[in-house]
Amino acid sequence: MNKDNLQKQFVKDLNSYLSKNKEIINAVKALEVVNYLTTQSNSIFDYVYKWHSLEYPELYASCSKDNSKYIKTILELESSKKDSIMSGSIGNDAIEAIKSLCNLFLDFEKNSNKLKKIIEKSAKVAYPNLSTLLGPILATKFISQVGSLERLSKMPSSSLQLIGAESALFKHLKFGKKCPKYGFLYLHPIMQGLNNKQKGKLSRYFAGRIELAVRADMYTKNKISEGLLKDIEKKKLEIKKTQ
Amino acid sequence: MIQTIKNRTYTETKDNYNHYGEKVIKEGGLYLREWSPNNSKIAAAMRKGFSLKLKDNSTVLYVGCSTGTTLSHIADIATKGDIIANDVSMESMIGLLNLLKIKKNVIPILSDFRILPENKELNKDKFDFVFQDVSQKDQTDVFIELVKKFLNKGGQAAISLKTRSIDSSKSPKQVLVKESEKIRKAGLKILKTIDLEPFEKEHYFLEVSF
Repeated sequence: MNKDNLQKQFVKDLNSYLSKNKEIINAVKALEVVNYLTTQSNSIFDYVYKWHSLEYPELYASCSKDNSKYIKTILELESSKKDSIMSGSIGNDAIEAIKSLCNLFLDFEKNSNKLKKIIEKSAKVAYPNLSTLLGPILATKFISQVGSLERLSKMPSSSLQLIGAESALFKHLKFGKKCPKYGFLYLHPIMQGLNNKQKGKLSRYFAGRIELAVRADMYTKNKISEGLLKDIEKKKLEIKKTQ
Repeated sequence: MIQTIKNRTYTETKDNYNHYGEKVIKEGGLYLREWSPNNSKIAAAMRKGFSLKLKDNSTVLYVGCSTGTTLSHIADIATKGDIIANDVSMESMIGLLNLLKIKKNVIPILSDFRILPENKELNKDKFDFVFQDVSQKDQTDVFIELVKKFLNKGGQAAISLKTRSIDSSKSPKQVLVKESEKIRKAGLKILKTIDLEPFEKEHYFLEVSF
């Protein structure tokens, strides 16, 4: 056994792994944090809304139910100027506490926007076909669910169709419930405007096209995504005609 | 060296370090690091009757080292012999890097465990202790290959079977019977079969030799 050779090989392996998979690792890690930040900021918003509507219940409707706009108007609001049924106030201390929570919410939003930009950038480099078909964030969601781009490229398209619907699939296999027709694919905007049966038909075709795109990203590195998108839109029109 | 004080297992070492948050006791010029059966499958097997025959100059092949929880204790015992540590995951290998600075005789290999037998650098070597702890479907087949190729005569080999990742549709005992038959058919003897029940669920520990 040659000790030095093995040590050198190890250092080489580590560094080459990092340089090969840098973009995918960054995108997957950033997506994890984005998911965490969105759940946290949603719950912060919930606390702010329930607390502040004791003072000014009409504000959320006047902001046209837009969360970040609502938070920003709370920060700018002066307590003396309001036209509300509630004539009393919850007090300055409470309003200060609410305002600092609002700042926290905006911080979370800013951070997650930064991270989304990182995801978009690295997705375009690492898997250009997949990210134009699905959008960078949904594409990264698929990869983080499966583990790696290579594993996704070796899947049959019928398994790819059901990624994200694992629990429903195993309920179907174990207890004989209805078989799911789509998982994360449901989140794609192209699936809108169809009824459930049509969605099932389109998702099967869609999964096949995605599989082609993934394999092109993994092995040949050709750019085929635009043709595939046209195919999918054509198929959607065909499916819409049939009931 | 392994010590037991008040029903707890410790390994002696000259280096003052703490790898994964374990208890360290100073005694004389030496440090005793606690080897808990809840964290390590070899320690759990030792509680249930397995005897580890490691000496300070024996060589070790450890497949599936992960972040090196068990490996650090083995490196405490075998201070002079070479220890080969193998894992696929880069993220867990990064947790191992701190240990590599302290224990100079640990040599890491970042690869799939299935291609270890074809590694050119390892080709002519024999090891005194071969241990495999990976949760894969074909772990027994590769283990047999590794033992035949790398185990010294009179050496010790052990495998921890994770029955759920071999076959989740059969019961753990059915999997154990099937896998141990595989080992016997390959011409190896099973010296001990240990159920790791209170420490690990659905795990079996097999001691194997020629």
